[in-house]
Amino acid sequence: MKKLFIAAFMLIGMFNTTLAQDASAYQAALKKNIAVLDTARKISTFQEVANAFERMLSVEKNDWLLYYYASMSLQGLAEKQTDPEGIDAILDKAQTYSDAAAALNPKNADILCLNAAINFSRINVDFMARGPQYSAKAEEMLMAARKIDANNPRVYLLLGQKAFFTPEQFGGDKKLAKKLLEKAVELYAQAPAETNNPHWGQPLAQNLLSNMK
Amino acid sequence: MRFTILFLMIALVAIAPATAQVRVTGKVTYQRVTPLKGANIMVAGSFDGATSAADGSFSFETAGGRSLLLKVHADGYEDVQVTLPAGDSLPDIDVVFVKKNITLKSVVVTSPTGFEAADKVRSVVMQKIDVLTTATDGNIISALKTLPGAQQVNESNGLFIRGGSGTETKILFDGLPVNNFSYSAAPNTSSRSRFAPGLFKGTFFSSGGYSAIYGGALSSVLALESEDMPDKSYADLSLSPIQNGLGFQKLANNKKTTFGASFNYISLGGYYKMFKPTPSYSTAPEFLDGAVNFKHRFSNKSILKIYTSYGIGRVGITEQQQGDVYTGSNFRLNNNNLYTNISYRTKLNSNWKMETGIAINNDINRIKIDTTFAEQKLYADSVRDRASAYAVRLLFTRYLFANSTLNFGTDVQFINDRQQDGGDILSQKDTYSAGFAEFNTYITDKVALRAGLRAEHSALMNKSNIAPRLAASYLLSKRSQFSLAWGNYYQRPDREILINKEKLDFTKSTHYIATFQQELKDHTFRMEGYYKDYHHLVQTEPDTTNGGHGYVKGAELFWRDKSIKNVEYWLSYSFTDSKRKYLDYPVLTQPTFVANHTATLAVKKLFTDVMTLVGVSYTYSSGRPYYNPNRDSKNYLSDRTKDYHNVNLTVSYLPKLRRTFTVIVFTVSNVLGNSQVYGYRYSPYNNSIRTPVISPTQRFFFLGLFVNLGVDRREDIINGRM
Repeated sequence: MKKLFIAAFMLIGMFNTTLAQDASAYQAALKKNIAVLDTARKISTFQEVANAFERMLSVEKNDWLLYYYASMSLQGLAEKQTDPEGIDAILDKAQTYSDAAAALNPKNADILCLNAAINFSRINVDFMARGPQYSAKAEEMLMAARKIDANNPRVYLLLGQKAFFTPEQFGGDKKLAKKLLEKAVELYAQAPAETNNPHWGQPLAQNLLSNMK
Repeated sequence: MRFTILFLMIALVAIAPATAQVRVTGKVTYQRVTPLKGANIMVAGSFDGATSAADGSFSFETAGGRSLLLKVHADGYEDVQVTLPAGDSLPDIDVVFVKKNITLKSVVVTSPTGFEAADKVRSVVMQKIDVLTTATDGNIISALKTLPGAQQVNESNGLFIRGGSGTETKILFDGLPVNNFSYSAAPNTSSRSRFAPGLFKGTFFSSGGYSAIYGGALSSVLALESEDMPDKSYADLSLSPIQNGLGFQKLANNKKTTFGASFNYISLGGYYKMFKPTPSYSTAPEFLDGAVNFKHRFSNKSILKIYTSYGIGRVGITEQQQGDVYTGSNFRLNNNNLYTNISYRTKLNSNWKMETGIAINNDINRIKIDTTFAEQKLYADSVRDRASAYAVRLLFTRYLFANSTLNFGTDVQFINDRQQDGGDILSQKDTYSAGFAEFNTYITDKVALRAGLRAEHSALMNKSNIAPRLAASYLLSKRSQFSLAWGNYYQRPDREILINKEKLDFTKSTHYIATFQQELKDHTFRMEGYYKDYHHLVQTEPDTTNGGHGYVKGAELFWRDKSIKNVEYWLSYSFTDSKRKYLDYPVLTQPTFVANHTATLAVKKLFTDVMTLVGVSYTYSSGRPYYNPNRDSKNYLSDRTKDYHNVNLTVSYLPKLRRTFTVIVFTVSNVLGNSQVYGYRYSPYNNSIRTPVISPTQRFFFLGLFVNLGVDRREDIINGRM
């Protein structure tokens, strides 16, 4: 009987190791793909990394980070489109993933930032017709994100970008943009070391700020 | 026992993966011809896979020693699965997509011959901003007159489309009729719209062949869709010598409820003191309007919208027939208008959608006309004319298999008009009821079909009709399509005729339309040819009957280009050949509201350094027939006015005023001062004396300031905190 117990324990132990192996394989794949996304420049890279996250999603369906990054990759892909025609379809998909992430992790500042970024990207379809509406929507999400986490640097980066790129007639403000970006850079410096959690934006914030001077 | 454990352990170790990697390579195509880029090749149950390259090729490694199920996804196509046997080396795999997934908008069947302007459609033809930068009066109707099919009829309210009169175009607000879209106007003049373009998010303008959902219009339908929820609370203000307005919209903190109110005052008195109009106004046009709205979004995304407006207006004209010492008249009009629109839209479940609403139209014109003869008051006429209608609408949409939809519903209008002319009272009470059903489907991924049926009944006339309608679109390439539409359209005779209690039937027209449309990244091209015949038109001579008839045929071109940065232009041309024998026309002839050739070139340029948008449009129209009593009946309406030329200019400047969105607008209509004659009126006593029908002033200048203040000061808050 005692031996049976031992056997049972051993079995459980082995089972656990395979699970642990799967988990570490998952973390490794996630880490690798995030690294690809962090350094993506080309349109094909964004497409490839979006596909890679989607492949992971076909197996693992309960990690909000996976939906978050699938959505981020698609948002990046939408930003790279030269033909406005396809932008909405890509962003619709990005929004679906972002909503799925929010369902798993409600009230997350980074998901709200992602939603804001998706809305900013929608402006590219038709600047004159969409600018005011979508930028107001995005701003609203950023304000909600700021309420949840006032120290999230991406909130200030996106607000800064908005203030910088919006024409002054529509509420843009270069001085405010500078302040916001400075705040973002300051917060990035204090941010914890990189993990798989959302961490993008530091080089972008610094670049924008240095271009302003 | 020990052996059992050992055996178990060995067995488990044996199961543990120790297999070699295998390379999977292949190519993704559509129908084995077109390589597909960006397809996602997934190995079921693992993270492994790849993305196809520009030539459709892919290559990746995965654990071997097992059979593999490849799931391949490409946007716009139905997913494909490929099973691979276990093996150390695999042959190249052909992944072939055979079916396009038509949920991703392919053929647009909703508007084979319509101009659809919704946020989702990129190359829309007419957007809110176009209305503001094309029309010199900020009027939707004026902006639509630059599109193909529209006639340049400026001496009357309404949209005259193709061979149709102004009453043959119906205007809808969230699917419900608006009977008095423009302010009441004095005879031979037109007036602006009661509704600000900012109220509407979408404009669907169909110049023919439209869906069975709409009815009661022989020519055309202009369906305006009101804005849903605003993004934030705001207040707005407009200041100009002619028009002054004030309004606010408050959005509740939960973003689910909004309400607002606005007031608008238009007076041309000051303007007509500076620029003398012809004829002279005893009372310059003056309008005062108030509107309130309420919208609520329910938790299931259903939306309720209530809009109501009340306005009063007046205008008076004193006319002396030119060169005629004898006759003159003094016309005075007072108008009261109430419009209410309540609509509700909801998704019943994933397969059913419902829209419903009620509209109230109540319009009262009090008209006094004094006619003088040799400076003596000859007779005074006093008319009180009330037009009232209650409309109810119910529309169901059922989503079916293979992206098909079925729309069906009902439209009912209770019409109650009363005209009191001195002691005579005329009235009409009618219940117009209609039922419709329409089926939209895709026969293949390239062919879309719409088949509809509409049945209408008028209680007053005690007549019914059944109108079948068909439209089909064929997708020639990703961005070009060819459409055909056919259908029967019925309309009640005009109220001025029905109110005289004549025994009449519905007037009828049959449309045949062929359209080619191409929408590329930076241009839209559209070419349309059509034929319409008219039956049962109302004839008033010798007796009032449905004995009139007619036809219209034509061709239209539209080209819109966005390829130049900060510049946009469109060109539209319409050829219209139409003849009618109706009303008091003794012969089949071209009606007074039809010109054979009409063309518009509209150009807009944005000067980014000074944030100024300049729009210039030029419209040409060949001469239109006018009535000349000196002609015999064979030559009825054989005279033509001179050609019409008109250049409009709009300049919108966006100054840098922080926290506000401000626009200063300057517009001039008929910049070049071309003489524009829409027809002639002859003296009833002397056929050699006539007065041209023209716009009240040759040019029209407008200067206005529009300010929108976002009420919440969130950006201030950020500023203050940092």
